[in-house]
Amino acid sequence: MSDTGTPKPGKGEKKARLAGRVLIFSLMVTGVIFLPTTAVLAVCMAPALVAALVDRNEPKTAWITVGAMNLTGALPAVFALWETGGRHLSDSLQVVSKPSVLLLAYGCAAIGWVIYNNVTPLVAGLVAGRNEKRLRDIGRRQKEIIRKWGEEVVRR
Amino acid sequence: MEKTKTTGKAKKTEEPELPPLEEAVEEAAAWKDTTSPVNSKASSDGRVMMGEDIEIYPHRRRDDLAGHGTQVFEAKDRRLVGDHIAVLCGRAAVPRVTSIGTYRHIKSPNILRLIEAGIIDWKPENRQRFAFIFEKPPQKKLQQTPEDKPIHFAEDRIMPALIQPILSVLTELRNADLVHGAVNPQNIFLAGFEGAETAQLGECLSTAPSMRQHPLFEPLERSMAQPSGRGGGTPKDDLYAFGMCVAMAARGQNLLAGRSPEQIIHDKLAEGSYSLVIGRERLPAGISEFLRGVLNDDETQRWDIDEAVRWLEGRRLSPKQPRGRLRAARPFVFKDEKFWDLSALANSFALNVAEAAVVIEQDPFDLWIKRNFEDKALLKRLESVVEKEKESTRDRLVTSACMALDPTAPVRYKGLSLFPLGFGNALADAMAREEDIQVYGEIVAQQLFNNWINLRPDEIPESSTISALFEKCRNYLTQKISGYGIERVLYTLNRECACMSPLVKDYFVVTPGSLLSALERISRRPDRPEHVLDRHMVAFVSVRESKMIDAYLGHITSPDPGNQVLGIIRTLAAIQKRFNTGPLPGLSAWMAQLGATAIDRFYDRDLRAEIKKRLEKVKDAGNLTALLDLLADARVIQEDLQRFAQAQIEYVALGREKEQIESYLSRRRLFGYATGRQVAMLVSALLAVLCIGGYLLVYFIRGMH
Repeated sequence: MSDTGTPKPGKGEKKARLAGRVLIFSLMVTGVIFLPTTAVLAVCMAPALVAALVDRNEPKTAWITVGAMNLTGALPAVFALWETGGRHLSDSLQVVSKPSVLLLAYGCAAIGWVIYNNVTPLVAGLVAGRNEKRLRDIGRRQKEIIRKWGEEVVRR
Repeated sequence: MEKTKTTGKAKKTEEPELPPLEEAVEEAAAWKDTTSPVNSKASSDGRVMMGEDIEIYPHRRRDDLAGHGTQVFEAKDRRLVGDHIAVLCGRAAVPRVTSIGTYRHIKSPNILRLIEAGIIDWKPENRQRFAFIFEKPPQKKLQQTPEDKPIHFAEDRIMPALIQPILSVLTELRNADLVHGAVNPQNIFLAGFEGAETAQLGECLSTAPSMRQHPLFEPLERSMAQPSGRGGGTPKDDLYAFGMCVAMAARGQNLLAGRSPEQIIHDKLAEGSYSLVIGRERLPAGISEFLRGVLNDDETQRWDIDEAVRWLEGRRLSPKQPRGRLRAARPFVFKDEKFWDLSALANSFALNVAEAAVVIEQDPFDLWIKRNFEDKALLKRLESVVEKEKESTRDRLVTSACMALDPTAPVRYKGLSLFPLGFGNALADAMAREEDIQVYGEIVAQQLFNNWINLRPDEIPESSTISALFEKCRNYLTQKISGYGIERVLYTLNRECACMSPLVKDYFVVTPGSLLSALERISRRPDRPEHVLDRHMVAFVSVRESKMIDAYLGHITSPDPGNQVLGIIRTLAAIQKRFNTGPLPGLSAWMAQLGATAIDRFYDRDLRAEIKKRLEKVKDAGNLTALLDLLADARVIQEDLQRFAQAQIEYVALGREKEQIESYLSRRRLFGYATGRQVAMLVSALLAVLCIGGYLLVYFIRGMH
C-alpha cells in the first residue's frame, strides 16, 4: 500500500521477478535431473561462488570474471563425467576426487582472479589519465577564452 | 575535446569580415574641396593673395574706413581696372554672409560694388578672417570723422548730389528686400569734382545691421536699444538714418558734436527727432518737408521709400503729424528731474533700477499716473504688471514696469536693452567679446520678450512666430546636454553667426563644412584638445544642419567614451560627405586616436588588434566614413556580440565539466574502477569463450577419430 512508503513495483519489474523465479525453478529441476553433473559443477565452481560472496563492489562483476574462467577449467571434468556415463553420484565423486581435475578448475579460477585484480586498476588508471588530460585541455581553453574575450566573459 | 575543436573551427569561419581598405582611400582622393577657405597665401613682400588674382596689402591699412570690429586694407584685383579695398571681419562683427548674393545683384553705381567675398587665411595675424573685396571708395566722405563737421550742401546741390543718388540706392535695396543698416555720414562717400559731387553709399555687409550706427541715426525706439540688440530693421529705418544725414548736410552742422548717445536719446524723447535736427534753423521748404516725413517719430506716420520717391518726383504730399504722445499735466519728479513724458520716465527708470523699484510701488507714482493720464489701457497694463511682479526681483519689476509705460521701447533688463529680433545678434556679440551671458539666459528663461509682445498695444508683424521661437529657446535652456542650452539659443536666433566655440576662435566657421576644415587644421597642432566637438560646435551643427548630427546626439552626449567618440565620428563623417570637404588626414588621425576607446567596445581582443591595425592604414586616407565603417559596422558589432555570448556559454560549460572531472578525480581510488571491473569481466568472458570454443573443437575432433 502507498501508506507503507514503499513504491509499488511496475509491470516490467513484476515480469522480471517472475522470469527469475521460473529460471531458478528450471535450474533446480535440471540440477535434480542431472544430479551427477550438478555435483561435479558444484565442487569445481566453488571459487566462483566464493567470488560472488566476497565481492563488495558495485556492480558485482567478480563472480562473472572468475566464474567465466572457472567454467573453462571445470568443463573437462564435466566431459570426463559424461564419458563415464555419469548416471550415478559415485561417478561424480570419482571425477572430482582426481587432483588434476580440481587443479585445472581452481587454477582457471585463479587466472580469473588475476584478470580481475590486474585489468581493473589498469583500466582505472587509463580512465583517470584521460580525464586528467581533459582537465588540462579545459584549463587551456578557458585561458584562451579569457585572453580573447577578456575577464568580462567570466561574469554573467 | 570535441567542443574545443568545434570552437576553434568556428573562430576561423565566424571571424567577421572588415571592409576593404582600397575603396576608402580611392573615395577620399576623389573628393573635391569646396568648403575650406579661399586659397590664400602670403607672398615674400608681405602681400596676401585671395585666390589667384586678388592682392591684399597688409601694410596699407585704411583705419578711416574700418568699422565695428573690422579691419580695412588696400587691395587690388588684377583682373579689374582701379583700386580696391579688403574689409576683414572677425566673428564678433557677425558679417552678413547670407546677404552677399543679394548685395551683389544691386547694380547701382551709387553703392560700393562688391568684387569678391570669402574666408581667407590672414597670415599677418595667423588666423582666418572673412574678407569682402570692394571697389575703393572715393576719398571724400560726407563726414570724415564723428568729430568733424559734415560737408555742407546748398539747396540746389543737395538734391542731385545727395538725395537723388542715395534714395535710388535705398529703393533698389528695398526692392531686393535688403536693409542697409549702416546709413550714416561716415559711410556716404562723395565722388566727382568739387561742386559736382555725387554721393555713393558705403557697404553694409561687414557687420550686422545697425551694429555701427550711432543712436542719432536710429529711430527713437531703436536708438534706445544697444547697437547689437536693435535687430534687422526696415527700409523706413534706413530712410530715417538718411534723413539725419540730409539734415546734417543741409545744415552743415555736426549733430553729434558735444552730445553723448544718452543725451541724444534724451533730446529725442524731449523734443522729437525733427526738432532735434532742425533746431532753430530755417531750412528750405522742400528739404524741411522731406525731413518732417522721414524723421517722424511715429513709425506708422513716417514716410516709406515710395513716399520719399514721390516727394523727389515733385509731388506734394500732405504733411503727416505725429500721433500725440501722452504728456502729463503735472510733472513727476524722479532723481531730481521732472518728467512729463512716459517714454522718458521709463528710460530713466531703466537707468536707475534701485530707485525706480522703490518709486513704482509707492502711492505718489500711482496717483500721478491715474491723475495725469486718462489712458485706461495704460492704467490696466501698469496695474497688472505691478501686481504680477510684486514678488519678483527688483530688476524684473522695473523691466516690466518700463514695458508697461513705454511698450514700443526695447526690453531693458540688467543693463541690456534689446528688441526680440536683435537678441541673437547681441548674444553673439557678447559671446565673441567673452562677456558674461547669464543675463541673456535670464531674459529668455523669464519670458521677457513674450511679455513685451503681449504688452504692446498694437500688433507687431510675426508676433506669434517670435513668441513661439522664444518659447522654443526657453525649452532649450532647460536642457543641459550638449547641443542645447544658451549655445543652441544663439544659433537658433542668429542665422548668420559663425561658430563661437573657443576652440575655433582663430577660424571663421560659417558652415559645418568649414568647421571640418578648421578641425583639420587644429588636428595638426601639437596642443590639440582632448575633445573634438564642444557644446558650441554641437549646437552650431545641430541648428545649421540638423540631419548631420541630431540622429547621433544620444551618442555624443553618452557618458560612455566609446559611444561618444562614435557619435562624433558619425557626425563628422556625415558632414564630410554632405559638404564634399575632401580628404581630412589630420582629423582622421585624431579620430583614430580617440577611436581607441570605441575599439574597446568590441569584446574580441583579436578583432580589436585587427581593427587597430586597419585604423593605422585608413587614417592616412582621411576618409572618416571608412573610419566609421571600421569602428561601427553593425554586422561586425552584432557578430562580435553573438560570439561573445557563445564564448560565455562555452566558458560556463567548460567550468561545469571541469568541476565534474575534478570531483571524479578527488575520489581517485574509486574513479575508473567500475569501468575497469567491467572491462576485466569482458576480458575474462572473452578468454573463457575462446578457451571453451578451442576445447570443444579439440574434443569433438578427437572424438571423430
